Amino acid sequence: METTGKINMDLQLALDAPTSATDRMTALVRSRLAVALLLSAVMATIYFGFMALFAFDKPFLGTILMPGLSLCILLGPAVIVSSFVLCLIYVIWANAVFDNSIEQLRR
Amino acid sequence: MQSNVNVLSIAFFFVFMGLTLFITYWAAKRTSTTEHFFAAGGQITAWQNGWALAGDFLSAAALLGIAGIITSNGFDGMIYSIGWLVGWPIILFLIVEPLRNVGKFTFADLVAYRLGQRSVRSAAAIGTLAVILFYLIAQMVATGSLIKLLFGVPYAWSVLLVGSVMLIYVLFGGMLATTWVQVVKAVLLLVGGSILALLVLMQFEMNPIKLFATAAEKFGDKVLQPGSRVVSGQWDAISLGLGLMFGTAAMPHVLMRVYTVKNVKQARLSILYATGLIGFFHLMVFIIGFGAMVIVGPQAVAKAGGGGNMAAPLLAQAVGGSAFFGFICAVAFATMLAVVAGLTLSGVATLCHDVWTNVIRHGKAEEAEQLRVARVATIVIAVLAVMLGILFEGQNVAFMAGLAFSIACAANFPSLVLAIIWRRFTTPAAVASILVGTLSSLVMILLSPTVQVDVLGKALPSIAEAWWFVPLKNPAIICMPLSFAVAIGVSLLTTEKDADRTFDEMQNRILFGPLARGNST
Repeated sequence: METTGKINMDLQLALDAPTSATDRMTALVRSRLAVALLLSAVMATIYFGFMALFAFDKPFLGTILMPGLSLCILLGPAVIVSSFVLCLIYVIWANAVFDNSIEQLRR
Repeated sequence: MQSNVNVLSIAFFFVFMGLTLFITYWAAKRTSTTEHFFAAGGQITAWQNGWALAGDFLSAAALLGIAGIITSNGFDGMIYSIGWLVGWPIILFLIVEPLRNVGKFTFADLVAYRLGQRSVRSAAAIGTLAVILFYLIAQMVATGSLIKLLFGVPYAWSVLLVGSVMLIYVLFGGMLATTWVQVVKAVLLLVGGSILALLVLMQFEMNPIKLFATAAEKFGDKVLQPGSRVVSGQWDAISLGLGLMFGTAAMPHVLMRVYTVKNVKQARLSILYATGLIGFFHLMVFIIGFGAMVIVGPQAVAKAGGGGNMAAPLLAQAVGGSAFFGFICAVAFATMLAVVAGLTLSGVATLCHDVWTNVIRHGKAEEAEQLRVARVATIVIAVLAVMLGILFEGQNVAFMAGLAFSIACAANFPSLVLAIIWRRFTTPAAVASILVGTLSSLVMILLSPTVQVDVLGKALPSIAEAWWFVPLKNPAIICMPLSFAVAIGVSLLTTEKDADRTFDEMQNRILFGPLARGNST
């Protein structure tokens, strides 16, 4: 949440009229990088969390939850779905917030 | 399988060939510049490009290889499906915007932007070509063995056939023809895969859990649990994961497709669509693999030959009859053609745009000359692909592809990311990092059980004690950090004033694109 606050602050800075175009650009670059790194970190955590379980705790990942469903068969597709959801979040952010800021700055 | 020659599959095959060759004819008339040849003139829409990306990326390994692994090993096949998807968000978050706004045809455009053009491009060409050749081998081997099974054509002739058809697409139709071949293939593959999964689920009350439960009843709970036959060794699993995730994010043929759309917004959207389509397809393959396990049985699949690759076609035969079998076979064939064409095109872009135009001719080559070089390069790569395809007969497909990903993640990914985000990054660092990434991957693969045991046929115990032996089948966990360390170390030891100065200019361009106003206040 702290990072989100920081990103919004950078964006706000980017949009504030009195600052110079260079400052606003720097802030915009920084906000994009922050969002990109944050989402990449989330993706890497989800995936390598899953792979770490696969590598180091197979019995846990193989827990049978009910006949026909084990933990890995639940989590595997969940990793797939989460990568799409993260992409969706980024595209929504970029199209709604980021592109607008760029348009404002371009003018 | 004696009577594999299926009239319907041959009919489907000819319909597909007719359609794609017509597309190539149509595209050839519109391919007169390098901008058209390599980027389809930037006229592809996001939706088309999303499908084309899926068509470019979903290889024979994705349908035939993974279904086969799941059929014989259960859950473990999914490790590949997941790994091949999680790299897409990384492309979207970190790479798409800089690449699209700074580059022209290849990823080296972005890496070399602030740095020494000729040395960085030469190094990047070595990394890219190594990735492409490994991946091409995997595709060619899969193609050859499948066509041999389907049509009874000898292996070498099958490889030659695919090589020639792909050559026609790329040589005459360039990126436009390749894109449409990929779109058609992706639609066929997703429709075919979905119908196959649907037919399986209809036997299990549309409930995947019923399917898994039946599999567990027949073959034991172990098919629903992670095992160690597909990926052995704890660190090997992590290493495979690294290679698949960051390798996907640095595959040259995927990155090249960001240039085929109008602007960065379209590029972003096309990655989102591609991620959705590929993710959906992998979920279908999971159902298909378990369906083949329960309905066809692992023994029947193994008996059909092709290293388990026949699981999906045999399942199609069992649930949909011989017409559907023919359809799935034709789809698998289309799949191989589309991937091979995309790979070849990105290899050609590297040879022509990076090596010839920018290294040999210092960026001053006529359009007509560049196109001529591109066409010669297409023929060279096609011939090479056919020869290596014949040489490497009999290797496991999904696994060979995994090796290509390891090289991509160690050779291309570190320099790509550092060029985007790090001001201090220098030319010697980029060159060193790409070369170390490529060489260390190749050497480690050479000394690993992959080559020593699987290819050279040595007994594992006899070499396990040797001082040079590398116990990892996937080298990414060593090579990628090594490549990053070299890049950072060399950057800190060298300074490059020009690279430092142009960093802000590049950031500006990443935000606004190539036609934007300068960073004046």
